[in-house]
Amino acid sequence: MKLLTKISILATSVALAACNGDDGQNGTDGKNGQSSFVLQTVVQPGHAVCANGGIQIDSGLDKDGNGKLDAGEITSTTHQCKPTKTSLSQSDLLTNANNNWYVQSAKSVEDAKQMALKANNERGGAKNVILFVGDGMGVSTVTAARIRDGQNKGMKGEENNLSFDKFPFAGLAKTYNVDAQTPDSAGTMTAMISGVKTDVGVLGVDEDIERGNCTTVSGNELVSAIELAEIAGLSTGVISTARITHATPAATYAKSADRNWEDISDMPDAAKTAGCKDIADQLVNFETNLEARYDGLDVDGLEVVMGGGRRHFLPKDAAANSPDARSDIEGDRTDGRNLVNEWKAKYPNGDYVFEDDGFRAINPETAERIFGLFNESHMQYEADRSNDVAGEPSLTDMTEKAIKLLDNNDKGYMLVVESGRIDHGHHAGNAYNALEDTIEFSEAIEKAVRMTNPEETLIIVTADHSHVFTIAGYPKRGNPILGKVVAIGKTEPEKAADDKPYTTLGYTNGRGFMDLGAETDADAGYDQDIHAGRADLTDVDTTTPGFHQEAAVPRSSETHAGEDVGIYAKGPSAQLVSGTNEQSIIFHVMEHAIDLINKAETKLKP
Amino acid sequence: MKKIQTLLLLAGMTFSSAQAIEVCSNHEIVGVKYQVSEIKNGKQTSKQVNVWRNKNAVLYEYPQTRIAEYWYKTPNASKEFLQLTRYFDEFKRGIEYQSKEIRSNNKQQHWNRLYHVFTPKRLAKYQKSMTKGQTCTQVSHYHIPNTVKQVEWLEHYQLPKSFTLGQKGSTYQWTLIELVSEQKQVLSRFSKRGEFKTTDYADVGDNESDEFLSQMINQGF
Ligand SMILES: [Zn+2]
Repeated sequence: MKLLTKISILATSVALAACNGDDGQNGTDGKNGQSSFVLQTVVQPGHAVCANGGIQIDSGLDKDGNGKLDAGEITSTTHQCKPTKTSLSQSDLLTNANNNWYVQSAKSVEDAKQMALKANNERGGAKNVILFVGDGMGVSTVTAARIRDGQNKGMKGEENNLSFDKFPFAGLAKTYNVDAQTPDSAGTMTAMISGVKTDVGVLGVDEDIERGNCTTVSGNELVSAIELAEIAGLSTGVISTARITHATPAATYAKSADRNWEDISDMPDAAKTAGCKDIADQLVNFETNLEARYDGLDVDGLEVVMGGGRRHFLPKDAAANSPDARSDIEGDRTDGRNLVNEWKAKYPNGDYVFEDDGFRAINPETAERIFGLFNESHMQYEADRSNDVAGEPSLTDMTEKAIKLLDNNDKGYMLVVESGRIDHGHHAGNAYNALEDTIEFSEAIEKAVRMTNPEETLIIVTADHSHVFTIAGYPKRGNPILGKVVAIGKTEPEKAADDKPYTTLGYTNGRGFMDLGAETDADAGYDQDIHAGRADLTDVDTTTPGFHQEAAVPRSSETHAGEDVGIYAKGPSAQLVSGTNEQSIIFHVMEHAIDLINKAETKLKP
Repeated sequence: MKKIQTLLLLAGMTFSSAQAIEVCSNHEIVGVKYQVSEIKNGKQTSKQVNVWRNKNAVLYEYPQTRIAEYWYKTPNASKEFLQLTRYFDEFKRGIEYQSKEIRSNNKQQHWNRLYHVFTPKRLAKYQKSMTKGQTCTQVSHYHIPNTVKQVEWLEHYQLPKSFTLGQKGSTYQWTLIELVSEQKQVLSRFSKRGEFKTTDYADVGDNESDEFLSQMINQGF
């Protein structure tokens, strides 16, 4: 608080003295005299003149007679400063130094110094690389999941760290596609895995492609890091909780003018006639196709492939259904081919599994390769996994099994792990599932960290793009992240200008409010309505799995967002992840870490 | 010529015993067309709903909107057992919903309502007054005394011939206009939609370049 002291000195009007001789006429009354003011203001430490505080003295005449000294009327300013300190004593910092935030962050700086000193810039300094991609896991999703995870563990939440929050290096990725401000997974994963940014919706091809036109693929194909690793003789694996033919995993092994050509029934006749192959076909024939492109190349194919998406591998015939089929006819393929059987014929020593028991029975130390298709479409959300018909492994289970199998190769391995359904939770406007899947993703990363040697394995964690998902209002510390905003010092939810409470989490667009958690009317059926805008949440439990957050702009589906996403790294070459980058940097960091191109070239030389 | 076993159940008509030997048609494969009328605030609205049953599957057709809902019950599954595909006949496309996306907590009861049109659990609360007709065409009458609520129940098919809900002045009524027992005709309703291209509901958000889906995103579905 500023202390204002005003001292006014009244000026006196002096009467004119009389002259000799006749008195003249009385003159007109003179003007009132002007008051002069002196203003003293206490200034705080940090002031421009008085670094340690003191008093500022302004003086001047009250020219406009308004009874105060306005800024323009100040004619002189002086200061009486407190004496400056000549040294910083320990006692001056006592409050800081005794504070835990201070101690913690000082240690973080020491740790960072050590990490910078130990940073391994050597090309080929890593033996293995694992790339973790959280589909749609923007920064707000990471923050909210971190809080949710902490609160699940009984903490206030904000102070919690997800596994990759503890990684020593991080940077940002600009996610836009060559033709789009807000990107999709096909273009972004192609950038990450091939080092080249490209258009929305296309896989493993550059921007010269015309989406959906098969004839434009030829000549525009890119080489992916998984292909280079395969050529170099490393073991290779791809895992996703989405269909394994879905955009993110597909960008690692396929080249396609359209991400939706997951099986032959999804392709237009022109594309089939022009000779383009569907994505499932490209997965099963990965080894053959790669060998065909390089003279004399002999590779052994993907060792680990796990995810959902059986529908794209099986013929449209109930006879080909898996024992745990959800639909009457599981397969979509209209060419009569059974790609699961083709894979089995190609790899007689491989293990094909479709449910959790079969998965658990595989011994990864002796198994040659695993092909796991655990669902007809996407695998379950982590929160629903226990509801699955035949049982599915978790992302952590799959990651563990994959590393155990892949690390049997002395030359090293490259593994890509996607948490594919964070994106779907958000598209549905359902933060609960997006956050629970993010937490499971963090667990899978933690498992990988514990299973690998940090001096030989580079681990990168990132997202392909963000979502229009926000953490808003001024909730107090520890307020349930899925709850309504309760302000500091309050116990009841805050109310907006419409006199209704509101949640911390929300979406800029999408379906909006739905409360499936409380729905008990079996006759209600699937709800077709979009409920954008405000709902009265007074009596709604917003923390249930079935609650769908409010959205401002009405749309059947919530959208991706265009802001940057985080890249988190650990292990050899991790320090190359820093600053703000085009997303394609991720390929180059991985390539440098295991000297991928040189290793592949050496292998190709006769 | 194949014998068409379509029985027209028009108002005032009773079941005829046209067939010399009564062999009941398969109640697991059957079609029923209803006139659905609602009276509210003195205004009457009506629409047609066709229900096609094929063992573990039920198809609801809404001819006015050219939308059909296909419900499939996974055999031997205790939890995630109900799948919905919503077909848009105009576009020859479908959207598949998984069990969790279906707005219902009690999936078993939901399935019973779909399969029987009127849940047997609800019917159990009604008083049975009389039963008419022979085995295949037997109709039982149910009502709740001192209300408008009544049901005519086709015992062989376990489907309503008609039912009325609500209260005086505000009623909701389903009346059978046609029963189709010819299997080929019933199954064709299913196989026709089976040819449509379908999209997993979870994939809609990533497919805005698809004209049908982007149109649906803006209209709501
Ligand atoms: Zn998406």
